[in-house]
Amino acid sequence: MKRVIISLVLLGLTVIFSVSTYSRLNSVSEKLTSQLDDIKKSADDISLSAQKLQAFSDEIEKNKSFFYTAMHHENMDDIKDSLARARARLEYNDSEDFAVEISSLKNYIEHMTELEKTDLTNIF
Amino acid sequence: MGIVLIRTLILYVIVIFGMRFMGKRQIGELSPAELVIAIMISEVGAVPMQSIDIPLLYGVISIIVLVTAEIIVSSISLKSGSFRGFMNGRPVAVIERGKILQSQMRKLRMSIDDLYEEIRQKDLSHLCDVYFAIVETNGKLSLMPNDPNNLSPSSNGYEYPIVKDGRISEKGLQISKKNIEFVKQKLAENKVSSVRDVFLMSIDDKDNIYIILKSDD
Repeated sequence: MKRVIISLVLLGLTVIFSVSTYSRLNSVSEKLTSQLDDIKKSADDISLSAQKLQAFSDEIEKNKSFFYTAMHHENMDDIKDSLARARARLEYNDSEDFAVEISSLKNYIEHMTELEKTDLTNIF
Repeated sequence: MGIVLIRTLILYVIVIFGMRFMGKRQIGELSPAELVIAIMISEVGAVPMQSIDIPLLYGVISIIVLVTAEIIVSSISLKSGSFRGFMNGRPVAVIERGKILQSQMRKLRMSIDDLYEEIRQKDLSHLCDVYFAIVETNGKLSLMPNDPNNLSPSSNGYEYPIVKDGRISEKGLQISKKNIEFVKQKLAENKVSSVRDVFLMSIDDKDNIYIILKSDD
C-alpha cells in the first residue's frame, strides 16, 4: 500500500510539474512575442530596435536554463541563431531584413509553445 | 563527453531505483506487461543518455510515469481478479486429466513439439505420463505427472482452488465437479461465516477440503 501511495503522489507531482512547466512556457513565450511585436513596430529606428532587442536577448538569457531543461535543445538553438542573424542585420542597418528576422524569431517561439501544447495533434 | 557521463550516471540511478521500486522479481518471473514495462524503461532511459539535445527530464518523466503506472496497475490487479486476468492473462490447461485439449493448444499457438519439449525437460518421456499440463501466465508450462508414486501427485490426488481471495472460482468448481452450495456447506461446517473471509479454499480428488482464512500478516 505504501508503494501505491508513493506512486500516486509521484504521478500527481509529475502532472503538476508538467502543467506548471507548460504554464510557465506559455507566459514566457507571451512576454517574448509581445517584445518582438514591439521591436517590429520600431524596426525603422535602429538604435531603439537595438535597445529592445537587447532587452529581448536578456529575457531569453534569464529563462535559458528553463528552456534547456524543459524544451528540446534544437528549438533553443534555432532561436539563438535567429537572434544572432537579427543582430547582424541591425549592425548593417538593414531594417527590412531585420523585420523579416524578427518575424521568423516570433514564429520559432510560437512554434515552441505549440509543440508543448497538450492536444490531439501533438499526442498523436 | 562529460555531459554524457553525468547524464548516464543520473539515468542509471533513476532506472535502478525505478526497477527496485517496482519489485524484486526476476526476468523469468515477469508477466508480459511487466516485461514490456522493463523494456520500455530501458529504452526511454537510453534516448536522453545518447542524445544530449534531448532534456534529461523527458527521460526522467517517462520513467516515473511508467514505474508509477505499473505499480498502480499491479495493485489494482491484486484487488480485482478480472482485471488481473485482463492484464496478465489466465493459466490455461493444455492437458486435463491426461486428455490433450487441442482447442486450447490452437488458441495458444502451441505445437505438439513444444509440448513434447516441455515434457522432456521435466524428465518425462510420454504424453500419457502427464495428468495436467498448464501454461502459466508467465509462459512457463507446469506439468503434473500421472504416476502417483512419481513427483508431485500426493496420495490424495490433485487439489483445485475453489475459493480464491474471498471469491468463488467457477473454474475450480467446474474442474472439481462441485457447486456453490457445496462450498457454503463446507464453510458452515468449518464455522466460516462468509466466503469473503476465505483466502484459499481447495479440494482434492478425495474430497478433502483445505481452508486458509484471510489474515493481515
